[in-house]
Amino acid sequence: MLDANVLVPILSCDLLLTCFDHDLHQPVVTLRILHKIDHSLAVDFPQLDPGAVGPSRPTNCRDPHASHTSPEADATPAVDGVNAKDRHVAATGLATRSDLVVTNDRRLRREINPLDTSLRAVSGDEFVVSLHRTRPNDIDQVLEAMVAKRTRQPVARSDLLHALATPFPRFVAEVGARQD
Amino acid sequence: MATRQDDRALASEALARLRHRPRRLTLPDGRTVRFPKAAVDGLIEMLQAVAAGDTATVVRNPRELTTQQAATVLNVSRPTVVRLVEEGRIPARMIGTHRRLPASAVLQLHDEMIARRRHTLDEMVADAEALGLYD
Repeated sequence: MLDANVLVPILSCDLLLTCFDHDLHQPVVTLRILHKIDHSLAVDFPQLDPGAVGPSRPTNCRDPHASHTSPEADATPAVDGVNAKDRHVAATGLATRSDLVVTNDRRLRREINPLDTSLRAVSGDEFVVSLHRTRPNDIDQVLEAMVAKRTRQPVARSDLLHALATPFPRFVAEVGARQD
Repeated sequence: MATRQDDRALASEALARLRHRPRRLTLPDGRTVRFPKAAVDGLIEMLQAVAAGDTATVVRNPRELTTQQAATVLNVSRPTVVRLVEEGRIPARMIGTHRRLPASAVLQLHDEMIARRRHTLDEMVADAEALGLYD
C-alpha cells in the first residue's frame, strides 16, 4: 500500500513504479491517494494542468482495469488507533491484505505498527532498502531501466543515485557499499 | 538441495545418448515405447538441469484455470478476475456454479497488463522530463 507522500516527487515515484515493473512488489493505491498527488503537483508546479502528469494521470492508475488501484475501504475498529485523516490508508491496507504501508509520515507509521493486525508501516527508504537486500541484482536492473528511460535529459547511474540520495539515503548508501 | 555428483554424471551420460531426441525407446525385454515430442523435450530439459547441478521441477500447465488460479497468475484479487470475466475481458465457461477460464486467455491478458504498465510508465517519465519535473 503506497501512501501519496512516497509517490512525490517524481523521482520517488519513478523508483517505486519501476520496482513494480520489475515485479519486486505489487502496489496498491486508492483514488484519494491519487488526488493527494494531484494536489501536491498542483502546489509544486502551478503552471501544469492538474492531473496531466505523474502517477495520477488518467491513463495510469485511474484506469479502471489497473490491478493496483483499489477502492477505498471503510474504517474498521481494527484501525481506531490511527488518526482520522489517515485512517483510510490503514483500512485499505488491511482490506487489500497488503503486507506493508509505505509512508514517509512518521506519525502514521507510529500509529499503524502497534495495531493488532498483520499490517506494518515502513518509510519509502526502508522499503527500497529491503528490496535491495533481498533482490540486489533486480535493483541493479531497476536502476539501469531508470537511466535508460531518461532519453531527453540523459543521466548517468551515478547522477541518478546522487539524486535518489535525498529521498532514499540508506538505500543509496547500501547500493554504493555493494558496488565498492 | 544440491544435486548429487553421481546423478550429474548419469544425467550427462543420458543426455549424450539422447542427443538426437529419439521419440521411441526399446526396453530390455525388446518392447518399444513411443513418446510424444513434449515429453521428450521435457526429459531433455530435466536432464540438462540435473547435469548442470540444478534441481528441476515439472509444472503442469492446465488448459483451464479457476478464478483463484487466474488471480494468482495476474497478481490481482479473485473479485477482480470475476469482474474481468463479467466485463468480457476474459472468456469463461461455467461448470455448475464455478467458472473455468482458458489459461491461454489469462496468460495473454497478463502479457497485455505488463505491456500497458510499461508503456504508461515510459510515458510518465517522458512527460516528466519534458516538463522539467526531474530538475
